[in-house]
Amino acid sequence: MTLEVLKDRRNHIIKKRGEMEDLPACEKESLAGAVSQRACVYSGARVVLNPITDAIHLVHGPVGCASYTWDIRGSKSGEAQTYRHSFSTDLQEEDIIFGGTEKLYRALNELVARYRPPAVFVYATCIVGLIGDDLKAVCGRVTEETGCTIIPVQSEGFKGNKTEGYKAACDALFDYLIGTATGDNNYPYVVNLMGEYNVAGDFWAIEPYFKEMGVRIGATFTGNAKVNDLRSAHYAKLNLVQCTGTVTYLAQKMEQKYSLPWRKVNFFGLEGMEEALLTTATFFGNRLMLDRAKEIIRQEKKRIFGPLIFYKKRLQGKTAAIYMGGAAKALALIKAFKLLGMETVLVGTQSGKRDDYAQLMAEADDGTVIIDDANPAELAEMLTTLKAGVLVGGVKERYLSYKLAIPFVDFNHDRTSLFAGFDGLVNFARLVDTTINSPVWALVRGKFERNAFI
Amino acid sequence: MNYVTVNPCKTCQPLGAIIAFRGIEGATTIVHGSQGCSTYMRLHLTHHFAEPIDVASSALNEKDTVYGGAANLKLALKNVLARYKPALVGVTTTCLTETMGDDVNRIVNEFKAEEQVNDVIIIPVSTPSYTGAMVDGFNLAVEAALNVLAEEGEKKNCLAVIPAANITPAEIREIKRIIEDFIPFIFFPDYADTLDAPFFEELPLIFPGGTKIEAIKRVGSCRNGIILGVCGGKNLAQLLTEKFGVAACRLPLPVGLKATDIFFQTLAEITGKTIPAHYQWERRLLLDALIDAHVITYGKRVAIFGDDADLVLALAGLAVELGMVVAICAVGPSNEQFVRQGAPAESILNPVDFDELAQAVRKTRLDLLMGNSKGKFMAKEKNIPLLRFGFPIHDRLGAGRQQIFSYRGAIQMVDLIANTILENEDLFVSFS
Ligand code: SF4
Ligand code: SF4
Repeated sequence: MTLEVLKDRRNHIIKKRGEMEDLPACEKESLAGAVSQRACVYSGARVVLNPITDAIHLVHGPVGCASYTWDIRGSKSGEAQTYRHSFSTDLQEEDIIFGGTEKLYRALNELVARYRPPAVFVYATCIVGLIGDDLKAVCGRVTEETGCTIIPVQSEGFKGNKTEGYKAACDALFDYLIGTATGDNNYPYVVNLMGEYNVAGDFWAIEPYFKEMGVRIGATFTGNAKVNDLRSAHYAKLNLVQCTGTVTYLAQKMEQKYSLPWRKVNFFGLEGMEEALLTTATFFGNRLMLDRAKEIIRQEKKRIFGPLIFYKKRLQGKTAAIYMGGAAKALALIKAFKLLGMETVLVGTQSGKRDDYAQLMAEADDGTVIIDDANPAELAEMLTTLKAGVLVGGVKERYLSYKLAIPFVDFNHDRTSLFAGFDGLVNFARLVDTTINSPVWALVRGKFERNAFI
Repeated sequence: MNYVTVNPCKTCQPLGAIIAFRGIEGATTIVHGSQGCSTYMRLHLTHHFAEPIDVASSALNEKDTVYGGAANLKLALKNVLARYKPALVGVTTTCLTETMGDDVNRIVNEFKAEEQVNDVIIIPVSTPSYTGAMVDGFNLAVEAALNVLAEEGEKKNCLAVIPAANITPAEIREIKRIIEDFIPFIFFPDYADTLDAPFFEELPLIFPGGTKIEAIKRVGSCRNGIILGVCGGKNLAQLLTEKFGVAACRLPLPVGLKATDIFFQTLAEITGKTIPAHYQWERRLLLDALIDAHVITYGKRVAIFGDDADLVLALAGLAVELGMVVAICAVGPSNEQFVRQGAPAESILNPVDFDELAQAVRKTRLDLLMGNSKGKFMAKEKNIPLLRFGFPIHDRLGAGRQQIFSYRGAIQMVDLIANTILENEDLFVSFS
């Protein structure tokens, strides 16, 4: 590799060679000045909580933090639209000087009076952490006075990166919602889907399979969720954890307190769907359910076989690069590309943990480069040197990719294409085909034609 | 609501500062604060301009907020210099570092001494966002850059042109096309090519383009100056006049017939030249377009909104020329100048958020909305079309390529507005 990397970043990038022990350096704070693709604690908390459709999400801080997070995610709702509004205390200079608690108190009262929401999440931003507003106290006071559940989310941005934000969100759910209502204890087959955010309607693509197996979905954390579903989530018999980076911590806490077991699953990709359904059926130990699961898988595989072969023919032999926020999706993507006959040459995440990278390493082919917390300059050089045929990433990577004449697929929280379930995989293959086989790349690489009109 | 901003119609100051620094050749920016602010701004700018946007952060964490951000900012500067090899670095502050009270000037001077940096210019700008908004941040950055770079000098036949409002790369190109015909000029900050960049054979780390540092120095030797914007940019006009002795005036954005007339007249007065014939011709083409459209647009009711008062005013001016009724003129961040200017509207809202604006929109009959992408909810609710102008436009392509300035831009606008009305009402009677 000829890449010129900042000294402190060197060990964050590694190339797989056989059975090696080394992993890229990770779980570190971003290097100042390195243009990290990461966001802040607050943004992590929003990822986990924002899809809760009927709650009010109030950002306590200056207006910018709220402005940038207004309606930028693709999580869908079947009903309530409250979550698509942006609420901010819009702190002004005098609030910063004299403290923002009074304004917060009044803001909450105003919101409760106007919207009568089932709950309000109050997010702390950096500045609130700095001036030391006691969020908990204000939230407690308003809860007491109005009877509305006001939930402080300790997401001061500077406490770390997104991962800390996931944790703050999980704490908020665990401390203030889960366990605050009773549920139905009679039905034996209830699961919660955790780390499923109904982006582009993903949840609706997988829900029917569970129904068919006789499994009821108690609560979804947090795609298309309503506050009251989450309150009785502890009545479920099993937690299925998809986006491990965001909610494993919550699953563990629920296991400790409610003896509620959890399993890792993934609803993206053939293998993922197959495993998810079988894991569920096996857990409940019900023969009939297991048979039904197997039947669903058989039928669905048969159904999508044709389209998959169609796309495989068009994609086989191409190379792919993956740059995702968390590792779970990255892993599933490597598998999906294998299925399509494509080789992954680069895989990276914003904030993967050590065992995430170990898994990625195991799944990756020899020669694959693995990178942690990449910056655009590194990504650009990697993509070019490794001759990636397509990049899967988020919006920040899209135009970098385009400028390098590398096809691109958006696989992030703000995407608009459905990727979950059996049809989701076909949809993904279609999008990869759309970008890889577009005529635009030939035009871009072609030379200026002087005699075109003669 | 009194204590809650619901669906804000503004963003924050550093965002504007980032855009301004994009207008200097070889420049890059560091946002001094925690990682999130810079990432969000990059995301926002990328969505809008459809370009990759690199903005570094000093990535402060909790302990830095106790001991000050000096060490992190210095490290950030060091890494940015090593990686991007910039000619200039803009350092914008955030709410966090402003509240911490970091003395960025001192930190930067220390850094330069410690690392013996002589050939890179570093310009700090204070952009706390608990006051002001994006355009203010833009203007503050321009002011900071002029303060550091421009030198007072013997006055020459040269015009300094400085935007103090939300204008697009394509509009910068249009302004330059026109002024070129009148007088030697310096356009600053010129982000035309850095925020609307072409496809490159090989991707440069910093996009080529931007006002040359050499040229910014000479702003102080220009005999005349034009600030584009009457609501923003007071600080810039003052700076040019008082510090550098440049005779500067503030003009409305050249949108629509009358505002463009003012622009051309001013150029003619400053240079003593007559307006070239082809512009006279373009003016007549616009008149022709206005006549073609007048029956379609007459009496149609429009609401115009955005976070930049000058753009909102300019659009309102054009709407009036089309015989439309401006039912609502709304500007997000509070702006005294805007209120004082008095828009030709039935109701003026300032400051305002989209919640309040939506309530006003609900109460009145409307045919059209003009403003940024965030108006899409109102458009959907009312089932009327939204023509997207301003910032952000994140759900359509070509925000940076939009061009509504001068007679030429107005001609496109007239057709666009008329056709949108026709499309929506489905009442087009064929003229053929
Ligand atoms: S902290 Fe201030 S500068 Fe940062 S995003 Fe929020 S409003 Fe903008
Ligand atoms: S101030 Fe903090 S919470 Fe707000 S965007 Fe910046 S890093 Fe995130």
